[in-house]
Amino acid sequence: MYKVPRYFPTTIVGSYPKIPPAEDLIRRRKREVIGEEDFHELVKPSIKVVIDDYLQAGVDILSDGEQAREDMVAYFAERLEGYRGGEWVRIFDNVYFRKPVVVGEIKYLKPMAVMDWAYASSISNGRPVKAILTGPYTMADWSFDLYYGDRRELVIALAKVIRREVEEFVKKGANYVQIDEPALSTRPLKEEVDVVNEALHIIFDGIHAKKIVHICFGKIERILEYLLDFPIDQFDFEFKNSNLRLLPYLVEYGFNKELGYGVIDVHSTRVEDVQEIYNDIEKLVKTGLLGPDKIYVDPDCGLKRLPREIAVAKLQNMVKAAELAREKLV
Amino acid sequence: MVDVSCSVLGGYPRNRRVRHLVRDYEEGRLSSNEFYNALMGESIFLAGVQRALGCECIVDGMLEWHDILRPFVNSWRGVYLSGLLRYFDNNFFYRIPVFREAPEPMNHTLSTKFNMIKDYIGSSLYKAVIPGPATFAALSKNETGKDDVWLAVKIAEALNSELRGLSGNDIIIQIDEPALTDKELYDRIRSHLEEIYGSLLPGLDTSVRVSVYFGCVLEDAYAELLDVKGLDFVTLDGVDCKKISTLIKEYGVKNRKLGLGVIEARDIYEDDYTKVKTSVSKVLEEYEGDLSLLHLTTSTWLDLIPYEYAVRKTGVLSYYSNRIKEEVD
Repeated sequence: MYKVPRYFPTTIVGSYPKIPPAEDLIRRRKREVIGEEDFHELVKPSIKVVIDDYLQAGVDILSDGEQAREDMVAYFAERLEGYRGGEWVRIFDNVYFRKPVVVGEIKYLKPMAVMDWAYASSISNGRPVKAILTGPYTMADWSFDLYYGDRRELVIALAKVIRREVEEFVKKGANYVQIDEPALSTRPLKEEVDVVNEALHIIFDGIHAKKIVHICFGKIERILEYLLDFPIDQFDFEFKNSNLRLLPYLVEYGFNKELGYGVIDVHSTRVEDVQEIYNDIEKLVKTGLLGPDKIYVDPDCGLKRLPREIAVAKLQNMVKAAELAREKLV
Repeated sequence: MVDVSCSVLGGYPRNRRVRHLVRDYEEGRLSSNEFYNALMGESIFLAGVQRALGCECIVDGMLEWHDILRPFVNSWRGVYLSGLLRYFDNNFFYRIPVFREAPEPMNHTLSTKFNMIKDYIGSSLYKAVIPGPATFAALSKNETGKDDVWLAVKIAEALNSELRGLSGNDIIIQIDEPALTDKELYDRIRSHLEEIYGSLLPGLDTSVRVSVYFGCVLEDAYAELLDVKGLDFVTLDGVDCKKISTLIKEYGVKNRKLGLGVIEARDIYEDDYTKVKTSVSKVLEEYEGDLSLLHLTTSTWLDLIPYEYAVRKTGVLSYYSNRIKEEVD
């Protein structure tokens, strides 16, 4: 079994650039040219490419690269009862996603993402692989709701089905479970945080694994003091894209959990050099807020929008910077 | 008697054909002429929809705009585009304009477009929508070394130069100021709206309306807005703001015409007529200005929902406006 470094372990947030066969498979599955089981079997070579890239870069805690997922919401919506497929809605520029529609009671049907995680784990040379799921708040916010008519009700319904999926992951041996809630930064308000907190209790209470929540790109400082009540072990935040803007707020609010520290800008193709990443790690360490055993070094968010060679280069430098930090800052 | 009119507040989403046109243009497979001519066909269709449904004025759909700031940034000197940032509380991101100096227009993006549209569509009342200078400045990064009010004034001057090319009695101008719902953004230009608009409005010989959406206009901002001279019309978001009637009772509208966003433009559910009518009635009870016209519109642009729903919502807006008009009469 691989031993994750005690200090400054490196990890990733989730998605990875799509390997071309995976994109084609997603299209074929959507057109029902192939079924769900065949799809997960056929996507394995793409997952292997991702894992090989991670291993080559030297990342400690991996993901399956979300190679099977068209996007983080539609993938799960297509596999839950109560949803129907949606139409294209713009995210930025000329980039779109299919915003699914809730048309009935949300119900869990069967494991949705466990098989890809299990395969990734089987080829990771013993390195742990994170189980990564889109959170209920983000699922709700990035869907149209024609059934519940109340955001909290929909979030809670989704939390219950996500809990089922988390149980499946843990049953199979997942030690790291990450819930992605990027939409929480959309409305940085206490009442919204309270809804997510309630949902996270449903998802995580009694679960024995490292419990992580990822949030990015927004005014997180407005809600940071309330986030600290979440029943989790680790927060994963974006820092690099916003020039470490959140750092003083962590100090101000006495941040006391483990931190996934985003040091790679996933919206820029510029490859951060080792010294630059190291300097950013040092800035966090110098606040005296967290020990090196509580700092997980990773990119700001998923890497899916980067060219693959850029993603690899960024990860390689990130790993080298973490090694340097272990030498100099511990 | 209240005359009830309606129009869509702003842009439409891109349908499949337009998405492909934009992609082909950006990837060099279409020339500029080919792209804009093909796009014009889509705008003509949308204009036809609005005209057939009895909209008071027509928007072209702003189909080529990646975000509300982009066409201006692209046609000005002194500003460049940076990374993405969330656009208010939407799952939509705009590219941050970074100002290094006062913007200087290189060409007039709006007049070129509207001259083309008029050639194709013919006689109608058109609505040109621009980002308000306060919102523009508040959503930008200011690297000019001057304060944000200075920047907003300079943006207003650049926008004024755009708008002067649009004058005529077949065009009205709508200035969008969603930043006036967000305290942090508003604080960047607080107490200076009159000064900023003093640079935006001179020399315009057409009707000018201001529109505030994505929630409740801040009270201070609303009071300031009412002091701005040269605005004929104020449009507020009646879907995401439940206290418009209170606001109007407190501050009035100071003889301006009132626009009310009553059709939910960020969601696809069928708007409930009773709710729409109740919210209109509530506002009318408190309204003490010129009651000759109430303008109904969508809560924001329609570009955050799928195309089919956007067209459908246009129909709903028209239908509900007609019903309200009959019932108010």
